[in-house]
Amino acid sequence: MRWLFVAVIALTAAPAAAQTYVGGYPGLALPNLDSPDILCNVPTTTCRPLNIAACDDSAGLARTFKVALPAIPPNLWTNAGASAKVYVWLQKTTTSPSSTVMPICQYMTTTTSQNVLIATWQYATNVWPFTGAAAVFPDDYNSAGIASTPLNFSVGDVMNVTGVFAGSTVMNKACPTGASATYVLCFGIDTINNTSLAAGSDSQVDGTSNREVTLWVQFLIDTVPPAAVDSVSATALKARIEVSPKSAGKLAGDRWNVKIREQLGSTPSTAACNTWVSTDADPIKTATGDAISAGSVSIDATNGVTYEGCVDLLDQVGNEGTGSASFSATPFDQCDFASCYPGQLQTGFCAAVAPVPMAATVILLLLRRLRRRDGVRS
Amino acid sequence: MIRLVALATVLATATPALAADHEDAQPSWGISFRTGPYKPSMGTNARYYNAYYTSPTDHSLFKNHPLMTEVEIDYYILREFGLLGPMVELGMWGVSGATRACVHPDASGTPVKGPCSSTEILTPGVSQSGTDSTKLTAYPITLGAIYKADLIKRYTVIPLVPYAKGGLTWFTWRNTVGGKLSHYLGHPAEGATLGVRGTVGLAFNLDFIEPNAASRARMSTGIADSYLFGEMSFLWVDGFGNNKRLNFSGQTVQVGFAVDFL
Repeated sequence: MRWLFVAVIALTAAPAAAQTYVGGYPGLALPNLDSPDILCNVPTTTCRPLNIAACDDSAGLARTFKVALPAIPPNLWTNAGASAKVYVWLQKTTTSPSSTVMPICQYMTTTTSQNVLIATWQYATNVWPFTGAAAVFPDDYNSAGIASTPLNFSVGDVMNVTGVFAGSTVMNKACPTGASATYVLCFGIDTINNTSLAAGSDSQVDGTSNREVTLWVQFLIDTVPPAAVDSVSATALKARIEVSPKSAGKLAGDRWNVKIREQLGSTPSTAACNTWVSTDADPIKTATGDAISAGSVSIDATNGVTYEGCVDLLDQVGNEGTGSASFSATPFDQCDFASCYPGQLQTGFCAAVAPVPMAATVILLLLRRLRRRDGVRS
Repeated sequence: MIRLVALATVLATATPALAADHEDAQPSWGISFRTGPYKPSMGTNARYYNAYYTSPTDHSLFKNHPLMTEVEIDYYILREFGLLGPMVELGMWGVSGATRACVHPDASGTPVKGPCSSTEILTPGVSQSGTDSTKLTAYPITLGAIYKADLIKRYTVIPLVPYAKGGLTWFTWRNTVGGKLSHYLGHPAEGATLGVRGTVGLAFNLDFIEPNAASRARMSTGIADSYLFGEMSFLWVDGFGNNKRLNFSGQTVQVGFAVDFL
């Protein structure tokens, strides 16, 4: 299926989002879900999760959605006919994003599910965006002059989706905190009788039995912070610090997020560690560990240097919880069995077997001598 | 001498043909698994080793003598008068302990914890247990020969097989601190020590417990014999007198399970 598409959800500063999957119907080649551009989990550095940080409305930091749409071949539009329409709408679901359970994009006049129309336009009037070349929604949609009001489709807008068929209003609303839901942004081509390539329009896109052409991007937005760290203890080891945090509210998937930096004063800082700023003069070192399976996290450090540190929880989409109280620790050099070994110690493997080739040589020489003696006798 | 070797080879290879019946065929190879407590002597550095890896107050099982677990594969070339052939053993052993630290005054006279000299570690009460963990791991490999005197089992009702074996042993080792490879004068703390090993043991044949099942196993799966055994090994693993190598000499008593195949 060469003519449709891989859709990639992209944010203004970085591509894709956490726990995002894409696909399309009918008979469309599904994208490669292993691609880091599409399947974005928190440890993947090529994408940014849709979390509390994605809702930062500070200047230049607000994130808006962009969906990269590969070109749709002209023959699809030719078959759909001049009165076919494009619909873009948003569905809110209760199921978590999954690489195996595909959502159904359904935009029906009788629907009762939560969905919001984002945009619609008629093919004959506005050939853009799908003919011939890849496009980005909504940037190219805006520049094509299709909408009277340009779309600015933010994370907050998505999170404020409510009701049924709310119209095409674009909200630019603030992002609520403490909410978590899965959304599906659907693109569909409406034709007259809900078959995929029949000409005309009936103002609805059927994503079920008579599937019309749809493509979708499914993603999770999570602004629920993880639990606070209740207590922490730190042990200064040899060139590292072992941090043992405790949190009664930790959940599966949460990770300990340990931060240390050189302690400049005689006592550790009382500032919350999620407000720490790393500088060249005082860089912050971090280490993480699974909060359920790891009772402690070890972080490399320099012997003789006093560090201050704290730990908080990171959830699966990168939300950061309330940090622990600060701790202070000074790693110090210690003797291990090898480092303080008395006398000389030969390391390495090869020299140890030197007697083997020597012994083998002696044996070979003896055998050779025996053979010669036997030869003389016979 | 060559004639003698040729005669022995002919006897060995002819054995399966002569013993057409599986019931009389002798095993051609075997595998065994065993474990037992072991503590290396470390030669002149025994006290230094003990400072890290031996606890005089902790008498829990295998704390000071951790288990050495090994697998052995034997190949029987001569089978007429007992079983004789080459063997290879692969093993694993590890011991854990704590680092050592000493308190010294810094430039301002303030006491601070730091590393010790080897003399301080060997002086009672001067060094103290550090905060980090250290572990010494060894992987012994032995190449040698084994002789199993199974004639008693073959020709009497006594299900016992005494055996002896010996060979060249190569102990590879590594030392870690906090799970990471430690260092000695900048070199990674890993190496090897060569030596020899001799073992005597007694195997208890299990076939008599269920003779019919043993006979069926012999016919259907090729399992000739199965044994429980105990053995004692003597290790001289000091690099043949090289005192710059870690000295893994010692003794170990091990028990295990062995199976011989046709």
